[in-house]
Amino acid sequence: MSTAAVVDRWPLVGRWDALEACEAAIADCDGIVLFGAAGVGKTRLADELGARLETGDRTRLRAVASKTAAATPLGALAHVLPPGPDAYARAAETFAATRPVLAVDDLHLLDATSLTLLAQLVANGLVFLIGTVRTGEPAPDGVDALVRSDRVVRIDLDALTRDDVDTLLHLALGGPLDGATAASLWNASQGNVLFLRELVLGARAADTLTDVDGVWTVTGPLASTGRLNELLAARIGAVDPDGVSLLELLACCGAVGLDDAETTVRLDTLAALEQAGLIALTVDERRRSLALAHPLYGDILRAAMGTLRARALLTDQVARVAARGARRREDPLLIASWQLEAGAPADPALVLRGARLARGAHDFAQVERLARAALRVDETSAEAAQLAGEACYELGRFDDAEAVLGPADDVCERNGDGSTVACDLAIVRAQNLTWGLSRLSDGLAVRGRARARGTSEDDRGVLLAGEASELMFIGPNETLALLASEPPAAESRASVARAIAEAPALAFVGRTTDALVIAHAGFEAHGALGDVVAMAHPGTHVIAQVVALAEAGSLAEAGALAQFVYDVGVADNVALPRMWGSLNLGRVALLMGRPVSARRWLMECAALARPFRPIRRLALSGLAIALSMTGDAAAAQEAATELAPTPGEETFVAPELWLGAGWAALANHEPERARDLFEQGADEAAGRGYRTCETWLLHEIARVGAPERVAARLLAAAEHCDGVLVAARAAHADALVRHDADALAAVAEEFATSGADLVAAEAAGAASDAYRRDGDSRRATALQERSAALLALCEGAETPSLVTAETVVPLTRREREIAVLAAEGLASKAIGERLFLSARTVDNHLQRVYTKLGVTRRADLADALKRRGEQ
Amino acid sequence: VTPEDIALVIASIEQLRGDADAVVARFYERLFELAPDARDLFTIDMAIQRGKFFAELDTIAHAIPNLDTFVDRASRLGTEHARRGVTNRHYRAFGQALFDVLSDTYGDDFTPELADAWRRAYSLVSDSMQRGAAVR
Repeated sequence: MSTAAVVDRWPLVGRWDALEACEAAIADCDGIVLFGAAGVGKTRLADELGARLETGDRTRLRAVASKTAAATPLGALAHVLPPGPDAYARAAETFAATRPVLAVDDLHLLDATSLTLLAQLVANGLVFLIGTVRTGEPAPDGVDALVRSDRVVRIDLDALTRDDVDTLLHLALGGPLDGATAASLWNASQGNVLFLRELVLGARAADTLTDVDGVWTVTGPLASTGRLNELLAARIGAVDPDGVSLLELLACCGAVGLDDAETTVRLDTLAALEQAGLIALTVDERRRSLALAHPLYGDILRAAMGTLRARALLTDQVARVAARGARRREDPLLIASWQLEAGAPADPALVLRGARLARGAHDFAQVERLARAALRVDETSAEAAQLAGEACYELGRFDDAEAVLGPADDVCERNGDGSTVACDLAIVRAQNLTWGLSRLSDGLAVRGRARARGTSEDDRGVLLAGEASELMFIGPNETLALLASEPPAAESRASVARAIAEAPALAFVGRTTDALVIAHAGFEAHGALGDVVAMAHPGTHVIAQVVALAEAGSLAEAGALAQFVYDVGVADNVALPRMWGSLNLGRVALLMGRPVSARRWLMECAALARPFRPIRRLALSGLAIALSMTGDAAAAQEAATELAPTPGEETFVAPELWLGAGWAALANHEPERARDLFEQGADEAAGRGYRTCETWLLHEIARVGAPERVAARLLAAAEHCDGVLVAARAAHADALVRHDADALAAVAEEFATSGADLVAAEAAGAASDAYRRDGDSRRATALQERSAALLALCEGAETPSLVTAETVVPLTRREREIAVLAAEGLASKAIGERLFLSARTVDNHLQRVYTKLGVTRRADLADALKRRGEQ
Repeated sequence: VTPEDIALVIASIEQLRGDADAVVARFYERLFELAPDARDLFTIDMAIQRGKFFAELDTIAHAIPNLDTFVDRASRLGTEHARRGVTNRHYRAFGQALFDVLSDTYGDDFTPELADAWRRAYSLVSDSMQRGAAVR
């Protein structure tokens, strides 16, 4: 029996179930992730799997994540990725043909950039991932997302069973154990392979596990599980000082090249450490490197090491790699991560490269950290300031953003710096001033100054387009006027930025067809541009399409596209597309008449957009509408209180916000005030060029009982707009004024075709009332049923015009409003106060209502007034 | 697997030798109940298969004390079985069937010590066979 077997690699035992599950999964997935406690044998099984998959042309790439490598984006993966700036594109190109096996140990320690890249590679079937994750430790969201994808199978590894432990010991020791020995090793290890191995190696070294007549027998005490860390520490402690410094180096730096190790320790020390099972040598096609045999060793070593010692080791390693020329392509990033970990000033160029990588993965916290590290070394770097400022902006910390961007931009201005980097810096600063800090004039001034000194046509075009976008704070008329003053840009970035400004402006002035064309072209051009700095997320173009589709009345299509943007925002982990996506999902739900869905989306948007006040206000306005429709008056009021800008704030006040204010008043039974608010909004919208919004606001007045007040104006406004929804709004108000049953029935179907089911139900109900009055009870019943069917889609929405009275003599608008309030239990005086009437007038109206409805008491009013669809 | 386990298993095989045909027949009966698809794994006449099974059990149990010979034999056996389509699931069914039949045959004489010995021995054998099949 050979004792060499003790330190050799132990055989794989007791993992046949797991292996079978993995092999079953291999055929129809793109990755397997093994979960389990430290020391349970994840890496061993991952190795076995990797070896099975590595056949023919298919290579295996190996990476180990660690806290140190995570200091720079892609730190742990750098050595397996092809060189080049766009990591994903390069990897896709290189891996597409062979689809290599990518084995990554300790996925939970990867940085966000690596996790994003990994998820993309797996999702597109470019690699087969074999990962391990240590349970019992916090794992980043990215791991969860990766494992939840249906392309990846999660396999959990438990500790070995008692029988497996017996078998493993028998095979590893090369012979039988006596019963007591097997039992004590089982008790101490509880099936954890690493602990079992440590116990055996420790007992062998202490000569307490010996071969007695061909049977392995324990002759002294074994360490208990609780003492295992001490046991590991003791084993490390037994290494000579030379060896310890190598172990410490590995604990700090992760893997190091064999040639680096050879310069620090003698070869026989290396051999002894390997023999003792403390370090492991991996040989890849490109290099031979050393690492600790198990991550737990690193934990123990780092815990025992002082900060200064760690810094010294990291700094020495940086010097060694730099001295041999840092010629491997992963070296620069490794050096930067070691320098950052050591708290030493790092090469700003490398750190910026890391920041750009992190930006590609939308890991803005990491971008900020790295960009600030670069700024510490070179505080004049405009690019570092721009990246740091943009990260703060994306994270909603606008004051911090301005603190970085402001001084850097001022320096560029003083130096007359018209470079692209300086222009990008100004763009980010202006965006932060306008959208973040609600300082529109300052934002426009920053852009104007940069435009004056910008040297490239393209940069000036981008600045101008951004200015046009921000003029949406005033209105689409201003945006379009500025764009019209300059010829369309030929340069690629400028034309993309122009589309971002132009498409939504066109949609809001009612030219939805033109808007769709421009937004589509912008999206295509943006895709060709790649992920460039100082440019909105590509999803912005899709949002412009959503707005255009919604204004045009293609609600289902608008909703599907908004969902797409929202999903992209979630997948890319970027807040802004998620905000715009949820806002528009809510807005479309409101137009369709789905208050419950609208509430869900708008609450999410309002929460996400807390620092982004312009977006949050739009969400709250919509929320007030949704809450009013579901009868939650108090919450609707609450949502509407935040709509007005605070004094001194130059913010985006969309006329659409009047909708929320008006509906909050409706929820409070103040129809008169609601109509006034809607009208003020419509006037503001008309003045600023928000044509479609003007028609929405006017249409609300028609729906709340005063079609005669708006019908003519709606018809005039609709002349300027190309969508079916706007046309239907105008036709609806007109038909209500004329009590035209046929026209109302036709309008109901136009709304229904758009997907605007709630207003379709209202129109059908009004048509039914009109037919009944005309004495056509057959059609009246049919339209009543149609109205009920449409209303059934509307998640229990309640609106004033859904309250009807089963009577041949129609109630006037005034009578109906008073009847509704009285039915709710309000006294005549209170009703009068809301409607600006005297109590006596209210009583007079009520008497007529009683007569028309055939009731004698207030208590019977509620029964006589029914919600449509509740017959 | 302790030396006592090995001794118990070898003694047990000696005890069963006289009644081997019946025990093995009951083993296959039980196996096919547990894993009906295992029938397809045996292409030769079941009478010959039964004979082979006991002979192999005998040989491999006696081989355990000499680990190198044992591992070698188990590996070859595992590779053969894998070629016939035997998977991990079947190994579990084999183990269960063997255990059930032994428990049945011994009745009250199936002591915890004897049961443990057989279970550990089977674990060692089946694990080594599967590794033999796996490491190609």
